[in-house]
Amino acid sequence: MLKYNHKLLSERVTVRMLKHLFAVQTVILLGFFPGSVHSDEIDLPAEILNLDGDREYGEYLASDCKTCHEADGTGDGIPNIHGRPRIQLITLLYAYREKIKLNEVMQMQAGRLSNEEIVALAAYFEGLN
Amino acid sequence: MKLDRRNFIGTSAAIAAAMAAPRVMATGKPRVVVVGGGAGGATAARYIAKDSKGAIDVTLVEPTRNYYTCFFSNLYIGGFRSLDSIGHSYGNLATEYGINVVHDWAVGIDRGSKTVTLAGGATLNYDRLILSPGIDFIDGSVEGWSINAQNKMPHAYKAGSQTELLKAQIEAMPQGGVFAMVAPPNPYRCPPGPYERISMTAHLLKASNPTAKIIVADPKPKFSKMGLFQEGWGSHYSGMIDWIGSEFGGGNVSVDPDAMTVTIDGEVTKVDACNVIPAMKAGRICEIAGITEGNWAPVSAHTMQSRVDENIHVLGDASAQGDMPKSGYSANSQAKVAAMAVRGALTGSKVFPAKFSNTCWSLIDTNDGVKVGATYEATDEKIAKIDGFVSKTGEAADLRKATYEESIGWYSGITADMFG
Repeated sequence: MLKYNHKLLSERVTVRMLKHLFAVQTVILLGFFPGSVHSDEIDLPAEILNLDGDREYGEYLASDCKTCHEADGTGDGIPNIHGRPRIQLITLLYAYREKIKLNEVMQMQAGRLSNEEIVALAAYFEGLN
Repeated sequence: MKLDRRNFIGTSAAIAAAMAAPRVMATGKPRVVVVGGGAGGATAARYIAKDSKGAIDVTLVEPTRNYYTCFFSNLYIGGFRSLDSIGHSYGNLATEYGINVVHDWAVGIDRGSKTVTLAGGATLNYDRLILSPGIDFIDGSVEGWSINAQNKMPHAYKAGSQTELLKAQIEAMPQGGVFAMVAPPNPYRCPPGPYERISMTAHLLKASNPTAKIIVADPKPKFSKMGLFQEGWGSHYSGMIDWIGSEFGGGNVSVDPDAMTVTIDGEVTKVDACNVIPAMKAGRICEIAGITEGNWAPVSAHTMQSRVDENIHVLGDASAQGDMPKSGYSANSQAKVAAMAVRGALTGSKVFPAKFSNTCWSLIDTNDGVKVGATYEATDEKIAKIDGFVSKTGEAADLRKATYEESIGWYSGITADMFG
């Protein structure tokens, strides 16, 4: 499992590092989240990893997600996101927002999220069992 | 007794207290009444009850005990879903969330005394009222058709027995028979709905009655996902579907339910099954409440509050809100904004800026799903579109299959979000 040491990351994580990071993440993520990635060139800003998520705000934002993503984890065709590690969700939402990962609904939903909102959502969903 | 000032104040206060007493005792908790248990009403009731953790007394008024969703009812016609699979009860909302579910019709609203009268005679008091009644039909919008003809020419635009009837009539068509649809003018519930229904009818007929014909009389020159549907009709159901838009007289239509004929731009056609989807307006309770302007009930985008009465919120199809289509997903999205606003007003809970989204999936044929979606924000004027997408013509089969599978997941998700 890849470990993150945020203090080592400069303001922007280098593409090379992130290629490695995302390659690992992608293997992990694609098992749960079908849908192709059309680029492995991720330029994830370090500041997004350093944000603290506001879970209350995340809960409000998450009501939008729950139209499709069921709380009990069932649901064919749409993955369970409840209880997923925060870093997975941040990476995924970022990849959808930047249109690196393909799915029109998710690109649209993530497209209006700020870094703070992505982290708030990730913090909220991570805390669900 | 001499009425001096001191006595007068005391007496007035006592009278006021006595008059107020029953109300105060009855309103230990703020009360919300929700009329309509569909995608708007059920979601709003559930979110208010769930998130207020018992601080708000929630009553949901819905006439049917088993609610059939309009969304996915076309898939029942196509044979992809059973009727049972789109039916839902209110048991969880009552037992898990403590919602007082009343199976009755709301027939009167007194905005002054803030009461709702039910057909059974009961009166419900509210601090906030949420109206999510869906649609009713505009009398006389299709010449020759009235609600009395709905068994001969079903609308099937409120799901359940009407949908069952329409499917049975399609299945009973003679070989090479004719199915006609009279499509509705804008705005109406579920913009791609009539065209998904045409697709599903064609799917059903292709297997059992491949020489049958489908005619669509449409008062519009174009429709939702038109390019996608027409591409699919050409590739899956070649030669079967004749869509007659307004430019070719599709809006000049009358029907004769007794003779089973449809007249389009002067040409009379004998039909074997006919689906008449009339023009629509807000569910009648909105008119009764006196909160409609024209056919719909205008609302504030920030809270879904009626522009006429701030103690009433209107959700879903019945509301005039701006850019969102009238869909189950839209109603569900609006319900969450309204639930947050109602809790904020009644319990002081935190209120965040309103955000909305919608996606409409449609099935054209087996594993051939398409979708259209958008995100929205609240402005002072309306719910305003921010961004959107639509499936593209010529997409690969595996993407279309994934889109269909996504729609199945969405159905499961939204119905869990509505009914718990």
